[in-house]
Amino acid sequence: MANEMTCKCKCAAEERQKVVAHLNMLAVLPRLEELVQYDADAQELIKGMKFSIRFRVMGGPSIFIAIGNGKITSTTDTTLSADTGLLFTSYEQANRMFAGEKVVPIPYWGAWRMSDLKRFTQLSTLLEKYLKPSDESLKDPGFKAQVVKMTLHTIAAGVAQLAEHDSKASHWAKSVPEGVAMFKVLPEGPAACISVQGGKFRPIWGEVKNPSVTTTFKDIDTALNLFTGKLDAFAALGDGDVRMSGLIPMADHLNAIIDRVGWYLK
Amino acid sequence: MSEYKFNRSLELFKEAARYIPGAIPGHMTPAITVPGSFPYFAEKAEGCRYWDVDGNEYIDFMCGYGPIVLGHRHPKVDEAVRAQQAKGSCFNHPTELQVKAAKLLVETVKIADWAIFAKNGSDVTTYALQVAREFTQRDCVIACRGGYHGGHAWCTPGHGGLTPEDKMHIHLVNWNDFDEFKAAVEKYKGQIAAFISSPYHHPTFSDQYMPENDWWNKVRKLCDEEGILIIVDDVRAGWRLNIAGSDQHFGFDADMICFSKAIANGYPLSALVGVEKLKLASTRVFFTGSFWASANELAACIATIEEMKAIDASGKMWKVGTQFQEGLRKLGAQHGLKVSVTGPAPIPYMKFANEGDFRRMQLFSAEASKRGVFLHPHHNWFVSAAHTEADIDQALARCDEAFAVVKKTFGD
Ligand SMILES: Cc1ncc(COP(=O)(O)O)c(C=O)c1O
Repeated sequence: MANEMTCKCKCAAEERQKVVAHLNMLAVLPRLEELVQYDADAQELIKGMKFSIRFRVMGGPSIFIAIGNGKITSTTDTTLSADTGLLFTSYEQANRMFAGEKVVPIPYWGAWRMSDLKRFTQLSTLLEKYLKPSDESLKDPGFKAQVVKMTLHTIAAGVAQLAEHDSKASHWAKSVPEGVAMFKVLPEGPAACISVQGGKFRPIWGEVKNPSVTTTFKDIDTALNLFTGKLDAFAALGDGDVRMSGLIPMADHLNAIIDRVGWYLK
Repeated sequence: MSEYKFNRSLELFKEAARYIPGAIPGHMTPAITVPGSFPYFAEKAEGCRYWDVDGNEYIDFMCGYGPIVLGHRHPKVDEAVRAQQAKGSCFNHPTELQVKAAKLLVETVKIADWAIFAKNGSDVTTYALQVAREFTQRDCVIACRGGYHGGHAWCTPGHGGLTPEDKMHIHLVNWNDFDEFKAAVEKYKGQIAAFISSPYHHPTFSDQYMPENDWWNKVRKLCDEEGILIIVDDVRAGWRLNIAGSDQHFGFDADMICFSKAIANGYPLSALVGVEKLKLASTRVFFTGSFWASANELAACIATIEEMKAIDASGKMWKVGTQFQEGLRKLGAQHGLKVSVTGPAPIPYMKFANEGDFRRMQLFSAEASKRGVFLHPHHNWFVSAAHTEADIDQALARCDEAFAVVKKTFGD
């Protein structure tokens, strides 16, 4: 029995590392794209830079990130070859790096320049400002709107990761009806959707026509408070700050997964 | 008639949110109605009508989500409760009423050789599973996908606070899919204690499904061959279809039946009844609760059974339910809308056949609500013996207006 329990705890810890690594690489890191669209410091950092990098976890996910023309793009397409490839030997190692610890991934391809690494670290620090914003920084309405946009995107991308890699969420995912769930902050966005088709979950940026279920947030503050776990969603639905129309069970099951994304990223 | 406003409901809701998680937790949450177009708090009720805290009056087609079977504040039931209340309700012992009520249940429900009382539907669905496991000395249970048996860990449709083990022995099959049922029985041969199911399939966010292709007879036969008990969860349908048990309505005999909702016309009570062979096994399963012997509810139960029999309550509900179902079909067709009216007449439900996302239904129910007809957009409805032909006519006239809004908004 004791052995069984130890094994269960170990499995849970391993799963956690795996899920967090997928979130970090495929839901959080791609937010660099939106970071450089908005943040002046980030734009300054990548000015004149032309560079691509692939992060890969041994036996796990991989992401290709390209920096050029003042933009950042990311893709999971494994056929593209990057200037530099970095390999993490484990999920844990990847997570430690994303948590800001000094870890040395193995450059498995190309040359790894210290100056690039430094800039990348600086970009990550800037990203953190948006994904874990301080109360002070949120006083700026523009910044706050950007935080909400990036958080919404992290959530939409994160749900897809959990539906595939987290045992609880993938179990719940089976109950999510097929369709497209749209989340929109009023009056003018941001918006993001989660598409569920043939058991596959996929984020979509922006609005779609005729979503199966629409969840709207009265304003940026409502969305932020909900995303940061400060708002009682049921109460917000009742008093109209959050509205849901259409295929409610879809949003309902997705919300459980969304809450779990939040729990992992806390 | 001017459309209803819900200002006081909203005001109270905001206050509730300060003190109560979710403000209105559970199935009464406005989150699954159409918030802003539905009442949140009730004030008073009578017969088949109730009034919300804004003073709006509704023809009630939810009946407290089922319990109100004779009508709100039924004089005979309430009088029986008042008479008991004058003597007290919560003692160190049960009262004679517990014996009387159990006897009456055994006389009323065809398969019942014994009856035992609790408070909520979930109390008895969980207990019935345990009794089945104790009797058969097996662990597994088959249930239907989308079926609801309460809020306990083995059956809750929710996600929070569960462990993977909670539902480990519950195996799901599709309603009416006998091949799948048979395959599950084969797969877990010798391990299945019971099949628990509502008498017909009444999932939320869905049409309602009657048994088809001799479903119950085939299930009964296979269960007999394999030593599997049949637990009918009659918490929702109980006594509206047939006071002898919904299994009788569908022409088979259950081994145990779970009742709650309607058995005391709104007073909190549930009961499990079973066949003789399970009586001793049931004594070996720990079963109790602080309020399970309270006398008021048992007085209500006795009065409810007597009155239901006296006025043929079930017959009345079939009649007005049929009038309502037929009226909705006719109105839908007149407006050129594709309505799907399903469920047995006393527990009707309607949605629009040409949509999967309920948007027409949400609009329709919101418009009906604002005109004083309380119809849930996503959950089956209930009629009571207090609904009259005139009430149904009035409800249909208002639904006519709601249909017109749907037609205008959606076109088809
Ligand atoms: C079919 C069915 N079973 C069980 C239950 C659970 O009953 P309760 O909510 O009283 O625990 C319900 C409640 O709606 C029900 O409809």
